[in-house]
Amino acid sequence: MRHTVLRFIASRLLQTALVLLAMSFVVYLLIGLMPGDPIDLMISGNPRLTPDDVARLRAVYGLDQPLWSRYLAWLGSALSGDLGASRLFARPVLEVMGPFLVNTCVLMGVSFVLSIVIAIPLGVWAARKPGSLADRGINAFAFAGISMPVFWLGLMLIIVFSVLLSWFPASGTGRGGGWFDAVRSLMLPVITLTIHETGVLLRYTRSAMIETMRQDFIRAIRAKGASESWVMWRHALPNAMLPVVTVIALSFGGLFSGALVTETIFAYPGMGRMIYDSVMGNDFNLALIGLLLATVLTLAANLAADLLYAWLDPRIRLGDDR
Amino acid sequence: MTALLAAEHLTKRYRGHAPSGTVTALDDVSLSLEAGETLALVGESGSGKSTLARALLGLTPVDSGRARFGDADIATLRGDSLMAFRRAVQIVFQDPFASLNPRLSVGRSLAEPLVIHGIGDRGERRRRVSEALESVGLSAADAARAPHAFSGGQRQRIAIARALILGPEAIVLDEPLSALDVTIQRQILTLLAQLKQQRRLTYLFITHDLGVARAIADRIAVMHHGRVVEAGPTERIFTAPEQHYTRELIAAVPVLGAGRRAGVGR
Amino acid sequence: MRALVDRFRTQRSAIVAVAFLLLLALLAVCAPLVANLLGADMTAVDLYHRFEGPSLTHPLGTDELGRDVLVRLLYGARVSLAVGIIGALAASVVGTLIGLAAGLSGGRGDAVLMRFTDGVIALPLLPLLIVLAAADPTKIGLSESFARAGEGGLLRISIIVALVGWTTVARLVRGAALTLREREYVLAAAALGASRLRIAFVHILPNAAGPIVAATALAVGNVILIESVLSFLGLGIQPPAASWGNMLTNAQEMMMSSPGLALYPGLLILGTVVACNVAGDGIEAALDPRTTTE
Repeated sequence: MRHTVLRFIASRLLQTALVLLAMSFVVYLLIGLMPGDPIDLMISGNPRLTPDDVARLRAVYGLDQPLWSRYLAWLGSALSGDLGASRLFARPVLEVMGPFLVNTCVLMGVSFVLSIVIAIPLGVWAARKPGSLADRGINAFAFAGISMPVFWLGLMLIIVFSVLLSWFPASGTGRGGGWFDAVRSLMLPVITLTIHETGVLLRYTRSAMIETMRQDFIRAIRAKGASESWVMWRHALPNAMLPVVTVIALSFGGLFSGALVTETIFAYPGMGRMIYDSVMGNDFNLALIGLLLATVLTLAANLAADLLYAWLDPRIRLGDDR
Repeated sequence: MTALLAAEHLTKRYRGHAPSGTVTALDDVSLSLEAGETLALVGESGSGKSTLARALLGLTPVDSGRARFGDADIATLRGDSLMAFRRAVQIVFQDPFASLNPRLSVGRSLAEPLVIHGIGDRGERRRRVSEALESVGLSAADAARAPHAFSGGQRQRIAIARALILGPEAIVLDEPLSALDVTIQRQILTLLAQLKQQRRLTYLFITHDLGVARAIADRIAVMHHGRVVEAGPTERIFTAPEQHYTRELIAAVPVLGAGRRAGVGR
Repeated sequence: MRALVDRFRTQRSAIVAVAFLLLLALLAVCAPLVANLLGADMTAVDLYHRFEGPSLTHPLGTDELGRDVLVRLLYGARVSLAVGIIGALAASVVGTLIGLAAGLSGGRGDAVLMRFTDGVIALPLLPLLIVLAAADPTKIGLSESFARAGEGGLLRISIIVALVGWTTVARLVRGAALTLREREYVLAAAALGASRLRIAFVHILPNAAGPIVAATALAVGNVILIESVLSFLGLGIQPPAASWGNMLTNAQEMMMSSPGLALYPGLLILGTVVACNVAGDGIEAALDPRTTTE
């Protein structure tokens, strides 16, 4: 491929790695602000510890070191594969995280795909006649989706579909019961998450399409006698996709936050809920790694957005590579 | 005698979209502006004239070479000496619609230099602003209005007033007429000539219009692709140009008959 | 400015939105008045009258501790609007300062600030907020009471929001600064000897104000959502102080006994945030020279 493209990818990767490194320090710092530290918890569990014991334990765990040296120590062991143990689960963090990560990926993945599938066609359709009834309706729906407090939506859905109608379960993953049960358990969380995400994507798709349709080249194509559908799908949409793709990738971070709330409401054992529980339960190691993993996900999404954008932008693709 | 303002081997490159990757805006440019004269800097668009103007005022950094104000290197000026330089050398830009802050009233824009240099109190400043407006042919009442209430020609007058309010020695005029209608151009040019005489100013007049240059300049410098191709007294340049490019420029000027100012030269 | 307001007035839905918000603000301000009228205090626990339906003394019924719902909703409105506005303003101020610094310093300074901004954007929002909200203020030298007190709670959340919410405005302002710094009037100011500070605040900022205002209006809605989530999770405004979010905390258990309790706070959040978004959108549309009347 082209030399310049490879260089671009390499530099973005490097940048991402550096940002991740810098953020790992920030996250480490913030986790340290959580109430209590491991020694305090030990003391409350074992009141017979003497001040000498405490001092000794502190030294053993390296808690009497200044922040940056503790950070470096942690970084060292993290990079060599040792991510510490989770206090809440009494198992290594890596072991604990696996299933949670999978669950969250399933939830986020399904919602993501669903919202794209719904939002893009609707956005295109709405842009067809801005100001029409259909457009206003779709726009209203988008606004509602964006403004909806996710946790309340989840509650409402539980009330209607679990309590009143008993169609779907209100919690868990239903893994034990086979394929059908798993889908049933996922329904409500996915719907909850999807509505908000769809709202966001819908807004951007619609405005990107309207923006694009206004441009002169569209008029030129219409003048050639092309049908409206052809104009929209074949010409306007690919051009509108550029900003939309960026938004899609950037909304990933928001999707994770939404997933956290959704998982908490539905008692869904995912990463988001794990982070919440670990913060509330003072499980430093787990919270730290959880947050970092979420950061990695968001950074990866941003990187994908950049690369996709560069790939789609004809100016860059067909640009000078002499 | 030391020149009032001088460029010494100025070079500036931009990282641009050209195949080679860089655009050389200024290529070892040396030029001097003597006190009291009007030096016209002529050339096509992209020849580097505006870049030179900005470099001479210290508004753009250069890659090598120096811009001098008297004996001092502009880049080394700080504090009081820098402020003195700012008071002494001013600039008028090409686009009258972009040279005034749309959010400030004309009065505030004109008073700003006084505020920056701590000159006078409220009343004194108001007086000076009125004076400045009147000296360019506008009225004192215009101070309260916003820039968009004025035409291009009027805005250029305001820009000139702003340049004059600190009592400078020299003014760099970066294509001050190019964005104006032809009849207005004449008015502004006359105004500039008057002001020069009244206040004993020195002008560096940048233009692509050779006719204008011939009408007002004592000396002419010709720029092409970032270099000063030729420089000399006005009449000599026109009657006995030495460089090929200069000759081409002059030949491109359509002459509309004796006694009338030549048209746009390109 | 006047042209802007005129154009804004042509966006009918935005006018409705603003009217709604003003009405809400009015009601919120009158919360103590209403409390007096009904003879009900926000925190008055009355275990003999739990989960009551609408009545003359309690127009919207009572909650799980017998407190009047309407009054609590109104006080909750105070919290939401206050946090929304203060948080959004704080985030905008921080973002504007950083954006100006980045856009005007160029080169190294800009690159560093932008990388930092990218880094903060990359952090997952809600987990970050949770960590910040759960943070122990004594560890950075603030007193314990600061964290839990009514006023402290408001301030604390606003600060937290400002700490993570500044990035959008920062990018916006940086973009505007980069564009505007090449304008002739900015160059003229520099040629006159204006300091960088002066250029930033007299020339750049006023001309970038429009988008900043629009972004801030939109931010208010987001901040209200954030506050409600945090309060819902028990990390924001603590009971007995009322917040729409913490009124929903026990909603799951209350669903059978009194579904209205779960409904009202959520509807209010939804309505208020929609209004903020529509109003912010209206401002953006008013700024866009190509907008046509609705």
